[in-house]
Amino acid sequence: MKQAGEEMDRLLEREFARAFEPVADDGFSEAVVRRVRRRGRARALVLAVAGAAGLGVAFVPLMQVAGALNEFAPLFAEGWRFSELPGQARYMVAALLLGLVSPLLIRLLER
Amino acid sequence: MSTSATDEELVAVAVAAGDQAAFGELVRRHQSRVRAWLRQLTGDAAEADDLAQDTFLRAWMRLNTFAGRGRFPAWLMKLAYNEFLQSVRGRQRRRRLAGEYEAQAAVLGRTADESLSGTAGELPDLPRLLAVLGEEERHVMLLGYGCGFSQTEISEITGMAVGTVKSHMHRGKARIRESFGLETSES
Repeated sequence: MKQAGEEMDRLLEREFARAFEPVADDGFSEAVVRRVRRRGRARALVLAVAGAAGLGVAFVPLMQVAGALNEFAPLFAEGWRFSELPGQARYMVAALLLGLVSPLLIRLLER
Repeated sequence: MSTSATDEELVAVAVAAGDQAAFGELVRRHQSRVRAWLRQLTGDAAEADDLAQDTFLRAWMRLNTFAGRGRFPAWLMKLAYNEFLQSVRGRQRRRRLAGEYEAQAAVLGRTADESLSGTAGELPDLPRLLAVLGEEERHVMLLGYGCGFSQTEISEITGMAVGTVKSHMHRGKARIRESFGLETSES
């Protein structure tokens, strides 16, 4: 009885294996990898644009926060006050800080 | 990327370094089985290949969720099966497909009754075998007998309970025996 069951299993295996006869690649794998690359590029672009837009929106409030923090605890050196910097230099320092932080933020977003 | 690396090693490299070449090797290794499986499910080579591409794309995006539990092929087949189910749900084709298969089964079943009363050791063609099976029996038996997945793996791939997988297998075999008058029964 058991032998008959095993025989049937073998027959079914042989028959059903025909459903999985090798399918020629014919450029399929390459097409998938191309799509993966395209998607990766599109994702990076979207993240960069979204990151830049977000940072643009957050720029002024962040600058104010940085300035306020610096009043309590100097960020760079004793006696150095963010608010004492001339207007243009303030923007440049804030942009520099954001530029340093943004790659980390984008990496976090990607994860 | 070395082609002697195991699937798990390739996954690790692809996840850690975002290595697309390692992923490409995984695609090359498994494309045949995934496409053949989807062709059986959809009955349409072009649609199956589209779903297979979507499957591999999803695999790439979710590669970090493959934690090495079980075998990579089973994980991949699960993604493929989900893609198939989503596409069926999306177009509400499931009922129509089942109807088509039932109609096909009725026609082919008659043929089997009339001219294919098999003897021990003889099975009819695969399409005829598939036609007498219910949809889920077909999926389970293709994975089990065609791909050699264990019942636990089939359960993971299809989301059915192991007991359900077993009963589909059992019922499928019984249907084949009945439809084709095979004598190699264990019952």
